[in-house]
Amino acid sequence: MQFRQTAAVVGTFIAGTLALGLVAKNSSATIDQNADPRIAAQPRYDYDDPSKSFVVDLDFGATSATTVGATVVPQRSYSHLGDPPLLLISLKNSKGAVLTTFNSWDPRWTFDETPSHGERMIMRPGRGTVVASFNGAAATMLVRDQQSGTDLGTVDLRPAVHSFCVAHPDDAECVEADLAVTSTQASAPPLGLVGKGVTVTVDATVANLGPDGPVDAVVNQTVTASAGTTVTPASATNDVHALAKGSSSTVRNSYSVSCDTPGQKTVTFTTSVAPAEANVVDAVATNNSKSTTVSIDCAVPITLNVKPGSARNPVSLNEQAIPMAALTTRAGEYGNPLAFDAALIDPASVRIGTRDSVVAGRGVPEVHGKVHMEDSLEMDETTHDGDLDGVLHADGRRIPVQRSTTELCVRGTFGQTHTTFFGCDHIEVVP
Amino acid sequence: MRRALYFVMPCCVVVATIGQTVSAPPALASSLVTLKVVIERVDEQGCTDNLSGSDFYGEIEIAGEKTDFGVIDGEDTITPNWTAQKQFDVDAVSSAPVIIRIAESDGGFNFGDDACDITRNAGTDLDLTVNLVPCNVTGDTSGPCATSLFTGGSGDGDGDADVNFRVDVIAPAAAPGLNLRCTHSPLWPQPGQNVTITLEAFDGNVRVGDTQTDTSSGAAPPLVDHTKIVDHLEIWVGSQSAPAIDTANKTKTTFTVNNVAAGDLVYGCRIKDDNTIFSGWRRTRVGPPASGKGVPVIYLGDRAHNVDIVFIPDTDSYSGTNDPNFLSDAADVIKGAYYGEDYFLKNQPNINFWLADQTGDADSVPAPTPADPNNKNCVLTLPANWATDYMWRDSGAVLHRDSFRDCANSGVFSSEPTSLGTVLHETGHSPFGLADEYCCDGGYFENSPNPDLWDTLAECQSDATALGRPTTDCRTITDSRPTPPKNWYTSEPTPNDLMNGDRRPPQAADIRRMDWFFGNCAAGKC
Repeated sequence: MQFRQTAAVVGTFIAGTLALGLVAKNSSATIDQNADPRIAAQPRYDYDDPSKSFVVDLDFGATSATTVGATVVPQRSYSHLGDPPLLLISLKNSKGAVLTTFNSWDPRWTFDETPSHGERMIMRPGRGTVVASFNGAAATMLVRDQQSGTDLGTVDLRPAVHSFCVAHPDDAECVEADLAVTSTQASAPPLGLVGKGVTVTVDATVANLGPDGPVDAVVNQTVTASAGTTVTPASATNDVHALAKGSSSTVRNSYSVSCDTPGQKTVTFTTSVAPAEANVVDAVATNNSKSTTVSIDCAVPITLNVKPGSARNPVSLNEQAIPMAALTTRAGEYGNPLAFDAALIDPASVRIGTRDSVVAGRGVPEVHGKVHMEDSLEMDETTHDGDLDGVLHADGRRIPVQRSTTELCVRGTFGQTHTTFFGCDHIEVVP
Repeated sequence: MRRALYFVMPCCVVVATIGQTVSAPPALASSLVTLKVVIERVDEQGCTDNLSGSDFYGEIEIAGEKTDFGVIDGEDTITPNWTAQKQFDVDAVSSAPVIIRIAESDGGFNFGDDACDITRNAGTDLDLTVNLVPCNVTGDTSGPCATSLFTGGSGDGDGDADVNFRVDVIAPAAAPGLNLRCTHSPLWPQPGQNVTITLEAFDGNVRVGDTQTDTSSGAAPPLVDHTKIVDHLEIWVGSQSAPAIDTANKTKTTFTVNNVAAGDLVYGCRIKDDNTIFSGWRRTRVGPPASGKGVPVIYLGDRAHNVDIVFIPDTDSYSGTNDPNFLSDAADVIKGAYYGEDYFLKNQPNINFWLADQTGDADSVPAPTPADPNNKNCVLTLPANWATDYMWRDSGAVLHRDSFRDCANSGVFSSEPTSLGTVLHETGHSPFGLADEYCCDGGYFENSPNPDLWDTLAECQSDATALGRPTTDCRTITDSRPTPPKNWYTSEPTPNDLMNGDRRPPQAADIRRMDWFFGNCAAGKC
């Protein structure tokens, strides 16, 4: 330092100034860092920074904040590093778990210059923006006023995330997975009874056809049914976790289908699959849903009295003409929801057998090919109620009645609409 | 008896200079040095009338400015300590010519005055060149400064004299510390323009308002010169092998890049002195930005590691980003505020400056209240793309030239280009998160870690000790707006504080918080 060396020998004449000049400086660490421009790195632009941000506009009132809009922007958010504890912003996932929290300036806080060039802070409600670093798992943003201790509002971030990922499927925090419903199958008994429900089981297989995975999926099933039926539940939702690329998973749902009116009914189950998280994009929509339909013949339940006159209903193994009466009943009689007139039975439609075989449309016809109309004994086995019942006969050998058989059923149609009827009675197989 | 020197030309000049010393500098400008010449001794070696002893008188001419010294009668050897001095700006000149003349006054019987020969070379005058920094003497005689030098005549019969003299260059008082300011102009160069890079050396005591006029508190305080002479001022442009210019022993240097090419201008400034400090390489965009919307005019590094300040042109004051007035005003704010306060100047490697590509609007609009029908509110209307293209900014400033009461909200503030203290105060709020330290209607909060304001006296007292202050420094700020009123506590002084009335300088708690912030920036958390 030649100059000050020179100054130093000036001597007493400038001793005072010299002393000042030689005081060691309070050096800054910051500009001393990288003090050699030959080796200090030259700055590079960070335009390749993959960071993204949530930008949320809200209308801030005194005690609330209403969402105006939310978007995801492919640029980094400022860090909020220094922001004071005015607002507390919480990002939560779809399960409500907090992913991250940070302090933020309250947009209502406004610093105004005073006439004397000072400053004052006033609260001024109005439009404000909250920005946050992107988190692909974020579903909601909770905005809390830490000063008052109140939650101002919750912002649904999922549409913004999804819109962004649809527009930027190659983004590192977006996942692309072709979810598909590959099969769906419903199993139901072909015969139902008015006033009673049958259980329908629906199996649906969903698959992740890639290219990314695993992903969580949500399977939704909706039901449409013919008039005169009630399906419970009307829809079902299943979560499928971690569906790997190239793998599939089958979900099963059961429904109770109740026949409210007799006749042929159809029930259609439509299964659809969608990503559970908003950052997963399924670009192939055509395979996201599939339907299956079942038909159920809603039959009129009737009262069948096997072996009228006997409460035991003994049936021998080789009995060739087992008598049984399809009772003509009023609505409500024996608990039957609908009236039944045995005289309207189509004899050719009659099939008799075990429950399973008859429900399945098998069974044997009436031995004589007709319905014998007579005032048969009622279920108390002693009463003739005065109306004409339909007496039928079944060849027990053809059914066949076996030692394990405990019940015989009859099915057929009646009336001009060929409505199905169905009824059963117990038997006791005897030697 | 005073007589006119034989070698003096106009008498009025003689009158004006005789017996004067150079007046004190108008300000303690550190680029100004004083060159002082002292004739210590004159010894007759033939330059005499031989009657009653020699009657010497003399003249010192420094860079054309002559100082005459009256006759000392009847002494063949004198030690007059005739002194002349002149001030020089070392940023403007490196050396100065000095001429020493000695004469012997003869009475009427002695055929007039004689010029004494005091040089071994031709002629009688001693012709010197004094290099100012570092100081040394060349010419008819050579030697170092600050020591007695000797010269004598040539002995050719024209009357010699021996002379002892000394030359000093006196530095102004130099405050401790060292800092540098590295800027360029125009702030946003366009391809084909000439860009001038300026490096200034400062001591370590620069305060906002010292280097640029600051009207943030009304009347501007006087400027204070903190420039400092340093050994080397280097401006590096692009190449990392050698500086584009290396200027020695000045306070300031410039380098101009002519016909700058589109793309980026990369430069940095270094000072070598007792310490070596470097501004950090910075990148200045020439022409449209390479990506994004913001124009990086001083870019020191990626946004995760740096504080990013974005200047927004007010639509009522500027035609757009490229308005020369806007560029000039933004450059002034950088120079006067961020590069005009020692703390921020030291942290210049950590602060990026950008220009917004669209205009905003800062206005004072009527907002009558029952209490004040004439009330007006400052309203900030940000550029339409502010939320989506500038969410990375740490702070935004809407610059405007019209005068009204400014405001700040959500990390954006409005300011006139000369409200330099306000700029730094609002920067203290955002991004650094400092609370106000004035009473009683400011923005108050305890912002951990390293808050400047506490919500309990005990915390303030404990912190005061940590800051090396007595606990009695803790003072109460009562915010009377809530019910009941709430007390806050700070050990920071009043009013001379970044977050208080005078808005300068940052004090210990402010600095601690900002240091913490910059430390996190260094870790990529900015």
